Amino acid sequence: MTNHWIDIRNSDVIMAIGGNNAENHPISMKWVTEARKNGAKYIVVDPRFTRSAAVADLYGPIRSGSDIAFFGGLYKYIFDNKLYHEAYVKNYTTASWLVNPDYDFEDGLFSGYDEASRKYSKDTWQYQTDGETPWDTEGAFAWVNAPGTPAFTTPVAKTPMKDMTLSDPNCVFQLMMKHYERYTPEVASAVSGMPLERMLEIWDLFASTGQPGKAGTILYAMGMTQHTYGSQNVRAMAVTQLLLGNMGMPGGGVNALRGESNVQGSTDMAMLFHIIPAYMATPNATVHENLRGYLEKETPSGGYWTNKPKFFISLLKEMYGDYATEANDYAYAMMPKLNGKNHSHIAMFEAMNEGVIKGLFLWGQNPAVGGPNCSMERKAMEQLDWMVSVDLWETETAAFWKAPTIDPATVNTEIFMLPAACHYEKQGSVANSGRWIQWRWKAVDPPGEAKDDAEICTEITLALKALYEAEGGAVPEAITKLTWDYVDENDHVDISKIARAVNGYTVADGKLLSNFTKLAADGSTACGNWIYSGYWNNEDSMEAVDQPTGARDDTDPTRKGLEGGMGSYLGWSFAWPVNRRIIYNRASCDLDGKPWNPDKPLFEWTGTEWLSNDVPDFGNKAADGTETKPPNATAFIMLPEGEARLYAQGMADGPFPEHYEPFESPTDNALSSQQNDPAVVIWESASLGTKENWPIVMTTYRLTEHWQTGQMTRNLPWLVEIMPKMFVELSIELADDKGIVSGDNVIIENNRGAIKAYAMVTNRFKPFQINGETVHQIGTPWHWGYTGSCSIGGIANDLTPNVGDANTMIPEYKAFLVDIRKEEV
Amino acid sequence: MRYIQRQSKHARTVHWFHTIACLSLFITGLFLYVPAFAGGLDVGVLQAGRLIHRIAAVIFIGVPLIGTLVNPKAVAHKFKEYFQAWTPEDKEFMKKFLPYMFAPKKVHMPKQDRYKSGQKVADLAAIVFSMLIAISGAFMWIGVSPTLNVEFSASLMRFMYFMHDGSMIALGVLLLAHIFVGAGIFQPYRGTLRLMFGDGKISEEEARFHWGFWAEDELKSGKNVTEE
Amino acid sequence: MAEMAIFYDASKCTACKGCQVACKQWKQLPSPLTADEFEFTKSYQSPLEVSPNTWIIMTFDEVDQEIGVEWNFMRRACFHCSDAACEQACPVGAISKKDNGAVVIDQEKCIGCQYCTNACPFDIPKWEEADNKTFKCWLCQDRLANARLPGCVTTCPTGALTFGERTEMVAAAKTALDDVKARGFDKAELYGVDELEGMHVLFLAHRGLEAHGLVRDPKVPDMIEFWQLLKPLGGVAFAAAVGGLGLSYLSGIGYKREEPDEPEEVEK
Repeated sequence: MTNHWIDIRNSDVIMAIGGNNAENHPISMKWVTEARKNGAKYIVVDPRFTRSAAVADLYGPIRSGSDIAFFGGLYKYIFDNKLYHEAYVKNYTTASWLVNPDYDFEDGLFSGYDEASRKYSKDTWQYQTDGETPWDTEGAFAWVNAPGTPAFTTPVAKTPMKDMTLSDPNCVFQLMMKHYERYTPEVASAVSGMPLERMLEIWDLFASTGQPGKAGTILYAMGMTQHTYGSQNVRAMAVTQLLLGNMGMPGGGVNALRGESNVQGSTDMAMLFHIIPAYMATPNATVHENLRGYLEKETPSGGYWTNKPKFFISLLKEMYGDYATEANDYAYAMMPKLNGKNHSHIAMFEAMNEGVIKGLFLWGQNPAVGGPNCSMERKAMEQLDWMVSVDLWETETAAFWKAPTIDPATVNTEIFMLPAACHYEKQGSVANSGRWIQWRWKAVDPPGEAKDDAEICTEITLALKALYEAEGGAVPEAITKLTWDYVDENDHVDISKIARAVNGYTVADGKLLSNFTKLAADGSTACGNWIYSGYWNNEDSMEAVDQPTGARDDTDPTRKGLEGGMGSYLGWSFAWPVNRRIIYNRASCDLDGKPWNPDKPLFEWTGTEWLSNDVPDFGNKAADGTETKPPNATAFIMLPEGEARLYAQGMADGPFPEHYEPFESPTDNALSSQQNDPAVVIWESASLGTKENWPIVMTTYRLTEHWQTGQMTRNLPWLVEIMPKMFVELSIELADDKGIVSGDNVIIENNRGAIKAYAMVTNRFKPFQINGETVHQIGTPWHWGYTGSCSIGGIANDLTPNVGDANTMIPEYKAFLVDIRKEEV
Repeated sequence: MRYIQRQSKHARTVHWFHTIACLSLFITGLFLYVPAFAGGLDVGVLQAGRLIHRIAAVIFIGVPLIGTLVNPKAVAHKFKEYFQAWTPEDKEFMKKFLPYMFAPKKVHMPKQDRYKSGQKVADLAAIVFSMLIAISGAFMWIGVSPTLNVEFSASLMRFMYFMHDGSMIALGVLLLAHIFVGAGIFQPYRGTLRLMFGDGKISEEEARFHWGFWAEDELKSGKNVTEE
Repeated sequence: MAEMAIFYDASKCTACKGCQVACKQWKQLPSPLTADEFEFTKSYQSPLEVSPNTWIIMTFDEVDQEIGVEWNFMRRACFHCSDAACEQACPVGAISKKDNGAVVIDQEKCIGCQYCTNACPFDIPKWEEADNKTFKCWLCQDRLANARLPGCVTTCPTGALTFGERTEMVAAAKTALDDVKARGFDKAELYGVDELEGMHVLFLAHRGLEAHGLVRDPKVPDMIEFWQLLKPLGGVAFAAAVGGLGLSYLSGIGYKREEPDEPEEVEK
């Protein structure tokens, strides 16, 4: 979330799209309800009529996978009716920036496409520049000269060319208007299946937040991201919010509703293969051969990320301690690296299938139910020599050899099950969707042999270190030199020591850093995760309760001149970065520092000082400590542009979101002859199907009553009782066609598999009219599998394709094709 | 002195079994009817009461049924007599009955046959209310029986509750009257005690007083007449 | 103690069923334990009905619309009526109305006769064979006694369930009614304010009582009223009978049988 949960109450219009916040994030409705008390409207856009839709002011049905048609249409609607926030767009976005005149877009392809490699060359996508400014290594960037800082060639900032009238045909604004010419309401309606009138109503309502002072928020989840163009879906939302001036605003933002209590935390801590802690690129042996290479490739010329060398070297110092010195590139060579290949979830199972990966460590993961095309993933696991499952229950993955389709006699995998403590049985920080890092204390000891994950991890690491010390091996230093002193005198994990390492400290005296502004690139500081820096900075205590992460002030007081009550709760836990609750918050004020909405001020320039209700993310203080005058309008400090990107060259599949069909689609792309996202990697094993064989669109989702792959709920009778069986929801029209009635056992199938479910026939699903044809959509939850004491059922992901997003490789779980029939008895 | 055998051993047995059942039903029922009585009691006692109520109910229904099966002719005969056309004496008896109850010294009752008309009315009422209470009781029992697992609608059950308790009140009043007369608390009936508390015989004098026509017939035929 | 009430605002409810589970958790009410014991209900409503082990459920009713449906949720549990048919029907005084308005079954006293289950106009109390007792929501008397909210209210994430003094809840319900009407829900109605002389669960049904599956103008069933009339009537009848018979007895004191009349005289 760019904003946070409580801030939803500051919205004027709330749009949930690709997320079902009432069902999957129930607490969000507390704040939606509060916003509505003040007259806010709540829009729900979803393929099915959910419990969110049930309480919405306006519901728009949309075919799974057609979101960009919806947003593209919205852009055109905004442009045609001049509903954008003009001052905001001009000053806080890249609308005025000029793009290389050779940039082009034709029939679904941007310029620079290479069909053979399915990749774009981005040369023609770049900005026009008219000057260069090297880093001032005597002034602002003098730190690069500090002894101990590794040598690297500092970047050169290029001066962009802008047209503040937004009329140059090569400016981003004009290119964008041109790009979305095709997205007429009629086309958007035909592609998405949303009735035209309803679509216009929704557009009109949401675009009303483009008025200065109004705030609209978008709540989304996996319905947006789990597509082959999932990243572009997210871009589409961000661009909407920029056009309407909703970023940085209280009650605005693009808000990812994280589907697990600490998924934000695990992303922050590098759960994903392509990032290391705090969103830095994973070193890649083919791209960053040494530390210098890494710093040169990864350090941008402008924006706050220019400090990346400080963050990265401090991380290396934490990882390898005294062993990391300037002389050995701070042990950069020891750090695990990518080898130029894709190591995403999908690719990992391909590698298992090929026998490349021999062992699998599962830490609260259950890909036998949760992975895409997971019958294929279970098959791949048969090739493993060993598997370790750290979990509360025997998951389907730990019991993959018991799968109905697998003959246990043929499986030679050795499986170790390590019982884990559940969340009440361990302590640690949990980062919520709003980036609040909240400490959670232990309530009870884990039962039996169950252990805290950190303890399990520590025991294994210490054993590994001992083994490498004793026996050596390939590059033993990578393990033997690794810092792992997060233990007490009995070698049990001491979580407060991990917290100190994450927060960061001065190497010389071990003193905690107040926050990441104190980090250095010369090896004098160590920090496990720079964005967390400041969450555990009280040197006087080892107790969480005395640290910012453990702070529990439940008042929302006046802060520095402004009336409180904005929901910032700055004394409650710690939000990264530096306890900032709403990021890009400079954009909540105009150039003169006056809040767009004077009734809900986050900041205000009085003429002599900045009043604030949040931690500013703009330079409100000069080096000498005096307050700086507006405009100091760099609202998007993390970007080299300093302004938000309406146009993003970093994307693999184009600088503007463009509508493509899901890999398995019931229709031809009405917007271009490029049926699918041209930059997507396709594996054979995905065995994609066609609409001729599989005419029905299917999507998967979660229920309030169950959790992820179901292990934590299908083993709990109380929760099973409130949603006892796997089911498929389908429309009355489709059910009539297929001779199905509610309660029937049905088979849903496609090229990848066939699953059984109970039919739930309902008007909550209705056929769509897509490009002039009737298209049926069905949906199932994906919570069921074959282990679990109280409820077992068909695995929805046996049907989902293992094809991933062009940028992130997130699988296309949310839109694919199937057929459905009544089970013959 | 001559005595007439009016109640057979069979009839007396039925009567006393029925009496025990009936009293048990009344007493246990009372605790399931008036919360003030039940409130002070342990639930185990109440459950025992429910059990006794049901056993008694079986006896209450079962004994007359079995009695009828054992001697259907007698029952049939009795009912035949019940439904015989009323004589002027019968009508007079009914007219005089209430005044008689409150002025037995002054009002003189006419002669009666084997069954007094008032007794016929009371008996028939008792039979009707007993059947109602038995039927409603059966519904109430079956409706909550886990073994039978029959579900009756709530409105039917509510009607049965009403009928059961209504019939109980009617039967209760009849029973009181019956005890008053039958147990000889009512002074003119003192001489009938032996009919149920003894060997079922009645003296000639009492018989003539209560059932004049019947006494004459019996004395004439002499079949049931003994000399003591 | 003041009369208390829960206020359920259907317009704020997302039917997450948190209340269902919180209730079972607090009272430690069991569920079946194995997959075979659970049944598919063809609906998001599950279980389909309250039971001795499930004292509250969310109900789901669907009304078709041109786009989507109206999906109407309702809280189904004891209404804690002031004019409580169950309490009237209970023959052993196991059901009582508390000062705070709660209607409570004392399972220690319950004999499992099921009069209350048949008396309730909402079919709420449910009898359990194993214990031969009847169960229903008891408005968390144990929690209230310790200054805690009822379990269901505590867990509600959206504020659809609130709890407080009944007068305040009635006022809050009226305000909420005005709010939803202003938002365009013309059929919105309150329930429980006057029904059955005032319930201790109040409802805002923003799409109207019928849409949310509520019984309009609920009454203690007539037969229950008549039946209850029998208790005093029976008393009167017995008293009258005893009195009458006593009088008869008094009038008979000193009775002496005269010689039986000659048959001839009778025949005259």
